[in-house]
Amino acid sequence: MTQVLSVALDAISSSLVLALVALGLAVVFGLVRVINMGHGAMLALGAYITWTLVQHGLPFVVCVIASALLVGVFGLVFEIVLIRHFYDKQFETLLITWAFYLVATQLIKVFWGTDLHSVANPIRGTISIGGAVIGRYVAVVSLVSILLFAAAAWVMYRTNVGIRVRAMIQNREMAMMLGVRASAMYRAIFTLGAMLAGLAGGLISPMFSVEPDMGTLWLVRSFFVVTVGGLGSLVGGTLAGSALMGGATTLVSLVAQQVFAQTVVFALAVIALRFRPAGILGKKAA
Amino acid sequence: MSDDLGGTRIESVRRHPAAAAARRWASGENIAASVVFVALFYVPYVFAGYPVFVLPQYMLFGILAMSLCLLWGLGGMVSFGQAAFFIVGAYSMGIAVHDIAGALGPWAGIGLGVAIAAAAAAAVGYFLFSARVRDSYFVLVTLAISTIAQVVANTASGVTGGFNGMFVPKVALDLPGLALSLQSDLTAYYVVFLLTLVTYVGLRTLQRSAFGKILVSIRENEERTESLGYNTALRKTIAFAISGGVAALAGAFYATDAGFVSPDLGGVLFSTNVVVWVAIGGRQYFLGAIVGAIGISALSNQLNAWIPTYWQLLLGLLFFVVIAFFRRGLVGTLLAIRPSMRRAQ
Amino acid sequence: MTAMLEVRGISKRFGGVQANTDVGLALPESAIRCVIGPNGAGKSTLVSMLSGHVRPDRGTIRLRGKDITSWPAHRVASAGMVRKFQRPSFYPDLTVRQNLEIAVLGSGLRRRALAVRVQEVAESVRLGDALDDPAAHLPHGRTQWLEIGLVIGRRAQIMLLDEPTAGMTPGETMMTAGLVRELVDTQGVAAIVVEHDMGFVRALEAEVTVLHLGRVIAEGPMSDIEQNAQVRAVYLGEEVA
Repeated sequence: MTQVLSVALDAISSSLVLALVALGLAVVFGLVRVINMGHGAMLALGAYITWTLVQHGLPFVVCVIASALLVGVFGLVFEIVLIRHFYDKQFETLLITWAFYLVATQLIKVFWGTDLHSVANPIRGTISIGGAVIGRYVAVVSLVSILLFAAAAWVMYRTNVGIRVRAMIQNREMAMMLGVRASAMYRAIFTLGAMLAGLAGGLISPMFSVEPDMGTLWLVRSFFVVTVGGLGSLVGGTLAGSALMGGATTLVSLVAQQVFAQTVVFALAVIALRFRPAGILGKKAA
Repeated sequence: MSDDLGGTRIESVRRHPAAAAARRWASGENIAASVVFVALFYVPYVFAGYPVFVLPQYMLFGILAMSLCLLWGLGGMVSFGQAAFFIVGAYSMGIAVHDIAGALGPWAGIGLGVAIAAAAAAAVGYFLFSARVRDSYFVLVTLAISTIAQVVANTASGVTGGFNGMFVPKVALDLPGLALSLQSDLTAYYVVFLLTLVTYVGLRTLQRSAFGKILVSIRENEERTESLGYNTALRKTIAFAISGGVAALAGAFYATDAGFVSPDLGGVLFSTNVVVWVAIGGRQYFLGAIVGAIGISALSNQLNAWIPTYWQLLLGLLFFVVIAFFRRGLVGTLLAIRPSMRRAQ
Repeated sequence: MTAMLEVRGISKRFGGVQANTDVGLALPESAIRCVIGPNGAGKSTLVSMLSGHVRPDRGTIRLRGKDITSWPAHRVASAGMVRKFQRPSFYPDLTVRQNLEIAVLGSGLRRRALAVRVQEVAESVRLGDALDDPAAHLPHGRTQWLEIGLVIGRRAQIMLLDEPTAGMTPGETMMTAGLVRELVDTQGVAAIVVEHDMGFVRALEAEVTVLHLGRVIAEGPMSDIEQNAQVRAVYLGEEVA
């Protein structure tokens, strides 16, 4: 029984962490239809900034917030210089953001070198839930993830901004006629996506080793979360996708090595993509 | 997303009375290709030692790049998974010439590698294309293919050597009445040169064939092509299978020529390199793929020793600039200059 | 005489919307059939079912006796029923010649024969002088002809023309009517034409099928249709009067 509970806790927390990481990608992909291949690099950037500031003795929370803000600034500049010219060409943005990934990863290597770093766990210790044990920090990050998704749902469905954003997704021209400033909104959403990536990077930095290419695997996983979950529903789709990806990885890990489990889950995700191109929560018409 | 039909540039057609310009175009590319291949042919006459040893590896990267060019330049499908097929060929060669499999020999290694890669690409391709998975989603799947290939290569250490990699001896290729030992750098050079040339000519022929033209039309407007009675999913699958096979062919020769295969050769980062070569060289031209692969690999080799991080940064920035502003890439841009020069004369 | 195309009782529902109910239609060899009806009558869905882009929920479509109801679009097209879409759909970045080549390649012709056939098709749709222009540079009216050329180039036996005169000037519309009539008379193809423009439909001098709310409410020559009280009530009353 305890073991089942422990596996369940594991699956839930890793799904929530995955959802947290994927949220920035989902926001940008789902709302402005840009496939941000630079998401992984933004994540790494957030982790490195957090690591650096922690080295300077700043409180962890401050470091993470600073990461989110700084990566957000990077995203904003990137949007202003390049991305905004390519919104109507989804495929070009994919390549341009991939170029961003290459450059950002190299910049990380220039500034920080290629050594592995680790951020000290800011909240040590474990908590026990019905005999199953989970790290306090992991629990806190899971909670942050839940809060972020709750906030996202609230913004999307309970505020004026949410109505405008949803109107714009439904019918861009109509929304523009009704006075929604699409270019400003696109910029804000892209920046927000970058901030979320920086935030997630900072938050996961104590859990994983910090290295320049750390974002690559997360990028692929986040991608699958978003596509398996479906583009149509930002909050529900991302959570469902994360639950499936994270849960499946945890389960397969019980019988195989972690890396191999990841592979099996990718293969399953490809199959899901084929049969539900619009995601499990999406409508059939892609 | 693009303005070229294979080798025939459209913008020149806009400027000139077209037919003549189009014909000149095609020949412009052919002349440039001749120059490149003649230059490659004479390299061993001018240089000895290291260039002759290392250039074959870059030419094989050129073949790998051409495999992507077939998908991207003609079919409009970007694959971040070419490295996966490359490593299938590489391990096939390695396993076939090692004692563990009872030494099947290099030909079996090449054949198996190409067959397995093409079959895998065909299976994955048809599975996805028949359900209309395309564009960005296809990119995502190819990313996953690379990731999976690298993980499997690392994990299946009994066969692949895992993290430690696999050493592959230089093989001798038995042909009727002729045994070509790749142990001689010069022989290896010309074997790979010939392979590159044959692949180039083969792919150019494919480009000019009905299949190639229809592939271009799929890139331009898949729905229209399908409604004209062509099974586009099948044609894309065939293109992907050929592309996988060509990548594996390069991989098989690379294994024996470089002598060493590591799991990284199947991963996302190496796949990315292929995309960078093709983009910078010129995605519409098989020649661009070759020039991009050889040029960037050679530069990387030089500059990695000298300014490693900054060179990679520079390369990333170059990729940026090409993607955003010079979508034709180096070869495409150079070929585009020519008619205006002609006019000036 | 058996019909070349025989459609029996096809129906299609999208979610809560019944797009077509029990639609039947028979098209003899080398004939033109116009399909008219107010917006939302189900004309485009009918064409999509015929072309294989949408599978009917019920009913059968037979082409020369063969049941093609569940065939995918590319198979229907290679069997000889080729569609021109309502929205522009060609290869704007290729030249007119390259556009037509794509269509003609399906007939297995190569090199010389291919070039000759492309020339023929181009001339038959009045584009003989524009072969080496990029298709994107053609004026709108001529792109519609290019699309008809693609259909002809594929050796269509039945052309499915979805609003071939959309966005055309009255002069171009009449020329297009002449072009369709000429192709049918000289090349022996049949055509199903969905149109809004009544002048165009009259000029084609063809049998007309009227759709309303997804059902066939009248069928016959245009002169009869214009006298039909039900048709006048739902449709012509608004647009022609």
